Amino acid sequence: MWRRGERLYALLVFLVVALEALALGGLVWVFSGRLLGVFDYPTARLHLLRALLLTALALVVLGAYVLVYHAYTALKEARDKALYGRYLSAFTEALFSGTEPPPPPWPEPALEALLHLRETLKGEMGEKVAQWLRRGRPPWAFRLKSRWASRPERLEALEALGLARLPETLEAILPYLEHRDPVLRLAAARVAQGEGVLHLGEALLKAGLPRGALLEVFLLLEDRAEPVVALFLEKGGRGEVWAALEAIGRLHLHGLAERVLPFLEAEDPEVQAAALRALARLGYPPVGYEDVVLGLLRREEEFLRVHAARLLPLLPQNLARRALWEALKDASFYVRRAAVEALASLDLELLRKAGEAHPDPYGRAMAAQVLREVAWNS
Amino acid sequence: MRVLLVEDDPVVARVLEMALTRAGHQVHLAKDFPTAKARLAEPWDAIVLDLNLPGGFGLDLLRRLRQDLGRATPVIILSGLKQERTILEGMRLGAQDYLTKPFSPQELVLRLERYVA
Repeated sequence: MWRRGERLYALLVFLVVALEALALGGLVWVFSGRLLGVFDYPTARLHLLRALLLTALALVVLGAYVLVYHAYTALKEARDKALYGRYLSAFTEALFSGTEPPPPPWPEPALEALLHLRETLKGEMGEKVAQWLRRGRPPWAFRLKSRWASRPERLEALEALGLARLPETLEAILPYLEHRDPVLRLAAARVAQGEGVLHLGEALLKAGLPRGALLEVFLLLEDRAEPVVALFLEKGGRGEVWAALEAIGRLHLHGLAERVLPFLEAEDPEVQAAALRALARLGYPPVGYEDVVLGLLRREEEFLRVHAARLLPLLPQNLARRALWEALKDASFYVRRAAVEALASLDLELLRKAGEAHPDPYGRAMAAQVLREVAWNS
Repeated sequence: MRVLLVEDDPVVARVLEMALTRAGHQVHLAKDFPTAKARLAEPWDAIVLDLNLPGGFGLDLLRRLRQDLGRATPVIILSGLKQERTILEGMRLGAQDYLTKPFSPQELVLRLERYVA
């Protein structure tokens, strides 16, 4: 990853090393010739002096570059700081007095001052700063679209757009949500803030991203995810709803728990399984959908039966006990395992009974095994 | 009204200084924890308090103000921290209000004036 100024420095170091290699190579050549009697003493001395001169020149160039670089950087930083302070004062004054700010074009420190004001202020003043930012024609969205921008430049642009919170720039940010570089993906997801998060949601709905990428975006949004997830439940297709349901469970979005229930009856078994997982993770009882959950225990798809069995402890206890007892007869090892684990969390006494007297020998064996594991772990 | 503004961010400090001065108040800025701690005992009419400060945490200043100095000076916390735990702790320690950034300067000034009145 190249930062500003590093390419020039690397080129310079390469030239210095090349010069040194040349000087040393020349010396080896001449001294070997001298040993073999090919070159006379004055020639060898001349080459030695040339090599020393070359080394001195290389060191002087490198030293001068480092000194000039530091002097220039210090000067630039001082100038930028002064400009930043001057523009911050001018923008703040204009905000409070209701006058116009200095006319654009503005230098980079002025845009930084505007960004910090935008980050700090909300309401009318925040909106006014956003208008000024638009007027300044900042380069960030362009940098994101450019093919030639470096990774640090893209990261800087993403961060700046996150602070600027300009809804119209989401178009430039969206492709980064599925960028191959995870650092850029993360930065893009973090851009969505406050009121911008719903715009991001709407843009994501149209983006047609794979469901795994959508889920990753939701998880990165963390506590800002809820309105976007709600939007996806309402307007999303199969993949979008699946990602939203997964996010509800993993982010523990309890506020959306009730809206998960209707998806237990979805046509797509993947969506039904995601709804079951979400409810189990939230610990939310599927009130009014008990028969639907019991029906899922009889479905052909093994993964649906597994997730339904895991949700059973959240049903009314007698119903759950009966259903789990029945699920121990399931032909699938995984369903029996899920049922026994659910029974262990619900009623250890019944699990003991199952381990001794369940009519299905496989169910009985599974119950006995989990009982041993419980005893071992305790 | 004499207001102690405890804030290390120059942009927030600049905005608040301007908003409070234009509303006719005297603003005294403390940019770090030790300075704020030293000036806490002075007779302020109100305090605007940031939490993440160089040299310490703002809630320790509030604790000192209420428990050690026994002052009931109105305090508005203005912070980027939005965790429920921090907000509750600030309110339990006796802050009059807890505002998060981004914020509206006019709203903050009005709230402050209401608490002082």
